[in-house]
Formats: sequence, structure tokens, C-alpha cells
Amino acid sequence: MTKIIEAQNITKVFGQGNNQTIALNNVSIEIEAKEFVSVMGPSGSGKSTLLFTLGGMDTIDRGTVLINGVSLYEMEENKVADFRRKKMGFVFQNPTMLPGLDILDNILLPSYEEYKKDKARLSQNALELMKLAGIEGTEHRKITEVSGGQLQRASICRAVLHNPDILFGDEPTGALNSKSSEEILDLFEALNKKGMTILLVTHDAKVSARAKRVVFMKDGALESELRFKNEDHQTRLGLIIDKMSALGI
Amino acid sequence: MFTKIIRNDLKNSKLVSLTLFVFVLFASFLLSTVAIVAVNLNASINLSLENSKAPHFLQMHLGSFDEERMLRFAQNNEHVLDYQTMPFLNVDSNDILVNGEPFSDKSQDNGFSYQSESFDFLLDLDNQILYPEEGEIYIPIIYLTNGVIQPGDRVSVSGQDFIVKGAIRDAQMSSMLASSKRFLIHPSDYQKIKSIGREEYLIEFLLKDMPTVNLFQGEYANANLESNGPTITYSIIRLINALTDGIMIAILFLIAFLIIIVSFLLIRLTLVAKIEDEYRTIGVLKAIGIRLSIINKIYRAKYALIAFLGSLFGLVLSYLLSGFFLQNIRIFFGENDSGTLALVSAFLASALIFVLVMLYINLFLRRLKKLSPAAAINTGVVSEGASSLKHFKLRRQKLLPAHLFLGTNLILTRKKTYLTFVLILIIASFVMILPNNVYSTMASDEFISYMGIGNGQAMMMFHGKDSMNNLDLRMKNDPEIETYAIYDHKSYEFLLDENAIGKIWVTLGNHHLFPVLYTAGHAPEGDNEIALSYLNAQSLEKKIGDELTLIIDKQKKDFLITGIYSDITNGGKTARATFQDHVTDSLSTTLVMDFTKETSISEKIKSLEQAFPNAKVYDIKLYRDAIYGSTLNNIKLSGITATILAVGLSLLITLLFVNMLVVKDRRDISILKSLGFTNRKLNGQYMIGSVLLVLLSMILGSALASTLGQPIAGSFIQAMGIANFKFYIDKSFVFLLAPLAMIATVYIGTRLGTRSIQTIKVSDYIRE
Repeated sequence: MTKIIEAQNITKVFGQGNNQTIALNNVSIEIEAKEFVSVMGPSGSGKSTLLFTLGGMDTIDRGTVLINGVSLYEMEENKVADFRRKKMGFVFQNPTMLPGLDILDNILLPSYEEYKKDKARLSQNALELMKLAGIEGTEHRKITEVSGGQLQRASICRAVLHNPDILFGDEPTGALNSKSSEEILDLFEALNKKGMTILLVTHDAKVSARAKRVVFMKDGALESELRFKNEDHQTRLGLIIDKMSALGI
Repeated sequence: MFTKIIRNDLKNSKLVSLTLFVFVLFASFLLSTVAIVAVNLNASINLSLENSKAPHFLQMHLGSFDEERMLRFAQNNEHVLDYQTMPFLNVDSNDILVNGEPFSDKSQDNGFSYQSESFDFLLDLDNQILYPEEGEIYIPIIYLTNGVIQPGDRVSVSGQDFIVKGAIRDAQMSSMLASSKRFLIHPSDYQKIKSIGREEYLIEFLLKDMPTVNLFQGEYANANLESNGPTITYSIIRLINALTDGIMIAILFLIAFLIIIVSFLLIRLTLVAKIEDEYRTIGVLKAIGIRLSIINKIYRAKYALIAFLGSLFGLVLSYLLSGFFLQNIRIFFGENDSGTLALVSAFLASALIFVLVMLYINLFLRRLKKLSPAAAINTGVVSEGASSLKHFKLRRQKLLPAHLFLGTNLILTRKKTYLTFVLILIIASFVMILPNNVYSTMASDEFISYMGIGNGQAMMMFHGKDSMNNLDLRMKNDPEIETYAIYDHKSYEFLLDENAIGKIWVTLGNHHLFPVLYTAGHAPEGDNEIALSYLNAQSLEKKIGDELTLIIDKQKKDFLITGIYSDITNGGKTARATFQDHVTDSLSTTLVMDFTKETSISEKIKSLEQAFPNAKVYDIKLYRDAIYGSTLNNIKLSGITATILAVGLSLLITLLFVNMLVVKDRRDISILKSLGFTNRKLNGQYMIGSVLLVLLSMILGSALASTLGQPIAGSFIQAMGIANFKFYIDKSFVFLLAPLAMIATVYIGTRLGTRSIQTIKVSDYIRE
């Protein structure tokens, strides 16, 4: 299998002097293409920081991050931005949509340059994705005219419209009710089955149970991990909870 | 609690608070300076007129003078308190030597006088009546201030030497707007030099009751007394004296007014941003039952402090610096005792600024009344937030890249916020362009025709009945003169109504050759046609198509008024006609001419000066510069100052505004960053808005300056007799240099304002 992410010895420190907090302490992680990985840990364990540093959205103090063999932190800022736009997709805990655009414009926004070249295909893809996400018919609505769950699904559509190599999710169901959460996780699974690599950060064991690999973090370091094969969700959930108890998370 | 809120608020918005403080300070400084200068100007002029006992009515007269008849009139007229006739000896500037060199300032008609006996005194710089010894001379104050003559210099006239002892304050003639200047000498010296000049009489009256001056003026005119020259009344003397500093007061007032408007806009800009930011907090405060008045207090507190400090420091600054603005008044009119009144007026002016700022804030905060706590808590978004044009969709346009589309969309979704920015830029463009429009108009060649002088290359003036034999023939035979026109200036009586008679200066000649600017109608053509100057038409209440009856050679003759024109010569009250009259003497004759292309203007003027020693020959452009030179320089200077002010203001406001937008948009910026938008593109998002808006503002600002600005500038200029003032626009400045300067400024301001985009990290604003 191809390694899509190779992170070696990442260290990230917040604050200065006596107020220093080590958010990531010499973390190394490798993720294969088409994997569905979940990172778990208590609040302040460094899981979101890990996601942001792997996605090139934060700086690191030490270490290297390779995405598809390309060293992220040796790239010039504009190249990182281009790389992110073309190769990565992001979904955050709260929907991140721009208020001045309607739902469809928001979804098309990062893929706009491609859209200008192939309007019909991108429009078709966007509408298909919206259908897959269960939000068909909302394309002309303002972001204030749809529910939080619909907005989060639209965020996922935006994150994957350009068919990225890897999709990052930071507590993507954190602000949703259980029904909406299930629908979103179904969507993630469906995308993963289509071949998309997914890296989620969550503190919810139910969410992690959808992943094939769960990495546990504590105090800025990787503690342990679980890998699943054909276990069902319930079995995975039980194993995850046992592991969490064992680690004292 | 409020102290803590204010302290935190100031700490978090240092740049905005400081800018607002500076604006309020300037507004307060300028307005209290206006108050101080206005009070001092009024008091000093009053004191100076009082000390010099300026005449209530003055008739200048050139020619023979029946002194006994005048004395009889004065004695028999019930209004007259005192009467005197003073001689005034006009001497050509070429006949005055300063330290052996010909006198360099030829823009004024210089003359000599001795001290009056009972009123219209010439005063020293302590406002004391001066009596020079023989051989001593006191110079007009203007020549001391512009450094043309210094105390101790030697002035020679007709072989008679004088030592300059000092300068005089002359209530009538000190102002640059009065074209004559008086030198004061001993009466016996006056007699010695009398032969070199042309003696004029200043027939002066002090009245028992000043307001009767109009009545008296009518009686004087009816009595058919000497009146070959301008008539001046006390109120005109006062006006002429007040005008120079009055214009400065008007300009300071105008700038203060603009600064107040900009301060208001700045308050609006920052308050809107702050309230939008804290929309949810305000909702919560309202929801938990905090009174609106208390919420208002929180927002008002900071501005109240800034307004108070700004007004106070502005007031202190105006006290400290008022000496600079009062310099001119002190020199020209002397000290006065209005100290307390000036202090109180300045205090009131500063207090007015404070009250205005507070009133504006209160007015603005009334919008919090309408805020619904439920909506604020639920959405946390101000209603303006998401309303763009219905059909303005990213996917429906191909013209703009996504980031530039977003920048344009930002303007549409935040129309109210951007409106304030546009208004400030419009004001800046207006301030930049208006004085330059005035300058380019007054500096244009055509402007001479506004002054009542034809637009020729040179002008030759003969006074009185100077010998002009064969003038026409000599001009006709001069191969270097291409076109010329001879204008005779004659004084005629005219019928005001059946009984009353007035006097009017009429210029006779061909008015089509070197036309002046007609604000209505056209130049007189037939023998029974006449055109009136704007000021004459106003004072006589005549319009085109009306008739005017002149008395020519004791015969009444009716004239049809065919045109009204701009004129500043002879106090702006003149008339033009074409009829022939060989009986009435000319008061003066003017010859306007154009030379052939090969002729050098300056050399030809020299040769004309030699050929006509009695005449004054002017290059018309230089003549205009002599009259308007200093005014033009002042306008040019104010144009440059206004441009610097406008550029500085635009830079500051753009920087603040864009910086504020970036701070407000941190979350949206981080979303766009997470989607792969580069810093350059995010900068571009704001840049397109700034550039589009500065272009719009420039168009509106220059349109305003050319339309609304015209009557504003015109109202000042109209007072001088120039009607229907039309801008001559310097196209390269208005359409190229000014827009380029503004675009460059706004570009730099936006670049500086968006610098913080680089430091925004996605992780800081998205992680929740």
C-alpha cells in the first residue's frame, strides 16, 4: 500500500517561557492510502493539533510531514495553500460556510477554477454529492436558511467535491444530534469505500467505531492504536471502550 | 466598572481610539481658533476704525474742486458731523526710488499724503496718531510685512529724500484689496513733491448717525457735487479690512466642518463594527434585563472620554497657537481687549464639538432599541450579514476569479459599512479637487475676462485728460500690433427715479474685439444699448431688457440693457456702451491689444512705455498676477495642503477600515485559508473592494467638486464682483493625477491593512 501521510517526530509547543504547553511531543504517524483512521483522546491531548499540523494549517516546531511524498513544511506558503486546495478536504466541528454565498456557491468555492473549465461536470458532481448527503434542493438557500446538520453535510460536499486524496475531519459530528451524526458517518464510510483516505479526530467512541484504525493520544503523544478488519460497529465500539478504560482516557 | 470597561476598550482599539482623538482634537482646535480669530478680528477692526476715526462716507475725486461749495453742503446737511478734504498725491511707481533703485512693487497705485486734522488718521503700530518730521516718511504696512521697504531705508521722490521711520496703519487702504496705498510725510514735504504726481481729493464725511449713510449718499449724489472717482462707505472699509482674515476664518471653518463629518463617519464605522461583533452579547444583556440606558452607557463611555479629551486638548492647543493666526490681525489692526470674550467663545466652540459628538453617538445608539434579544442570541449575525444580490452568484459568472468575486460580494453584503468608507473617500476627493479647480480657473487665461478686462496680450492705461493725440492712428500704423481696441471711461449721471440721480462709470468702445465674460445677454452693439456689470445690475435692480436713462450733455437718453457681465475693476460697478460722445471728458482711457506672432511681448511693452511716457503699460498676464498673484499663491498652497490632507486622511481611513474588516472577518479568512486560498488571493479580496470604491468615490467626489463646489467657491468670488463663476478644470489633475494619487493611497492603505491576514492561522479561529 502507498503511504499517503508520513509524519516524523513532530513537536508543537504553544506559549513561551514558563507558560509553555507541549501540544505534540515527538509524534510520528504513517497513514496508508484509502485508510479510514480515527484519532481519539481526551480534551487537551493534542489530537486536533495533530490534525491541523498534518493538514498544513498550523506550524510545527520540529519534525517533518510528508503528504504523498511531498514535504509540507518545506513548501512555500502559496504552494501549501494550492496543495491543500487540490489534494486535501477539511470538515470542522462547526460548519464553516461564508454568509455571502448560497449553499451551492459555498460548495463550489474551492473547486471554482476547475468549475470554470468544466461547468457541467462540476455542477453535476456537486448535485450528486448533495443527493448522496441528503441535502438535494437546498442549493439556492442562504446558509441561515438550513439546519446545522444540513450545513455540516454541505461542508462535507465542499470538502470532497474536488475529489481530494485525503479528507480531514475535526469532530465533524460534534455539533450534531445523533440522527444527523449517523447520516454523516454513513457518508464518510461511503466516501471511504469509494477510495478516499479519511482522518478523523473525535472523542466519541461511536464515531471511531466507523474507522478501520483508531489511534489513541494522551498528553501530546501517541499512546496506542487498534486496527480492525471485518468486525461490526458494535464489536469495534466494545474494543474501543475497553482500550480507553485501559489507557485511563 | 465603567473605568475598567473604558480601559479595556481603549487597550483593544488603540489605533482607532487615537485616530478619533486626533480628529476630535483637530475639530475642536480649528473651531475654537475660528472663534478666537473672529472675535479678535472684529474687536481689532473696531478699535482700529475707532482710533483712526475712519470716515463714514468718502468720495474720491480727480479734477477741479470747488471747496467752498463742498463746505456749504457739509454745513447745511443735517447728517454731517464733520467734514474734511484731504489731498492724495498719486505718484508713478517709476518715480519712487528706494535706496536709489526704482520701487519694485508696481501692483499698487502709490500715493503721498500728510496727517489729517480731525479724522481719518494714519496710525503707528501702537494705534497712535503719527506726525512725521520733515524728511521722514512712514510706509504702508504691507510694504513692511512683505519686506519691500525696511525702516532706515531711503525713499526718494522727485529729488526729495526721505528716511523711513516706520509703518502706518491705514484703515482705508491697508488691505491688499484696496488698490491704492498711502505714504505719510510732513505737509511741507508734500508741497515740495506735489509737482511730480497727480493730485486727487479724498472728500470725507463723518456722520452723526452711521446708519444714515445711504440716505446721505443719495443726498450727495443729488447735490451734483464732485464725484469723479469711487465712492466708499464705512461698511465697505470694514468689509475690505475683514476680507483677508475673513477668508482664512471661512477656510478654517470649512476644514473644521469636514473634520467633524469625518469624525462622525469614523465613530459610525467603529461603533457599527463593535456592535456587530458584540451583537450576541448585547442580546444577552437585554435578555437578562439590563436596561438599554445602561447598555448605551457602556458603548458611550469610551467615546465620551475621547470626545472630552479631544475637545479639551483642542481648546488648549487653540489657546497656545492662536498667536500664529492672530499675527496678521495684530500687525494690521493692533491689539484689542477682547481677551475674555475670545476665551469664552473658544470654550463654547470646543464644548459644541463635544456636544455634537455625544449627540451623534446617542442618535446612533438608538438603533440598539430595535435589537431583538432572541434573534441576537440565536443567530449572532447582524441582519445585514447575508444579503447580496439575488442573481450575483459565483457559479453564474466567469469574469472574476473566486477571490475577486468574494471581494465584490463583500461590498454588496455590507453596503452600509462600505457606504461610510465611500463617504469619507468622497469627502477626501472633494477636498483634493475643489481648491485645485479654483486655482486652475483663476490661473487660466480666460479668467481675465471675468475681471472685466478683455483677454488681450497687453493693456495701456492713460489717466485723466493725458495727451492721446493720434493714438488711434499710431496704433493703426504700428506693424507689430495686430488688433487693438480703445476704451474710454467716462462718468455719467443717470436717473434713479424721477427725482434722484446717480453716477455711473461707462466704458465706451468696441466690446466685441476683446470681450469680457457676459453672465447674461450680450455686449452692446447699437448706440442705444448698454451692458451693466453684475454688481451694478444688482444694486440698481436691473435685468436684461430693462431701460436705463443716462444724462449725456444735459440731454436724457434711454438705453436698452443688453447684457450683464463680470467685473472687478472700479469696485465692480461699471457699464459698457458703444455710443460716441465727444463732449464729456474721459476719466481714463484703456487700450487693449494683441501683437503679431513675431513680436516679443516684453520688448514691445518696453517700447510702448518709452513711446507713451504718460501711460501705464501692462502685460495682461502679469497684470492679473499682480492683482491675484498672492491670492493665487495662497489658493495653490491650500490646494497642495488639501491634497496632502486628503491623501493622509484616505491612507489613515483605508488602513483603519481594512484592518477592521480583516479583524471582523478572521473566521471567514481562516475558512478560506483552510480551503486553500493563498494570502495573496485573500489580500486581493479586499483590494478589489478598495479599488472599486475609490474609483466610485473619485467619480462622485470630482463630480461634486465640479458641481456643488462651483457655487461654494462662486459665493466667495461673487463678493468681488465675479458672477456666474464657471470652473475651468485642469483635466490632467482631475482625471489623471488625483485619481492616481487616491488609488495609490488606497492601495497602500489596503496593503497595510491586510498585513495581518498573514498572521491569521486556520487553527486559531476554526477550532472550537
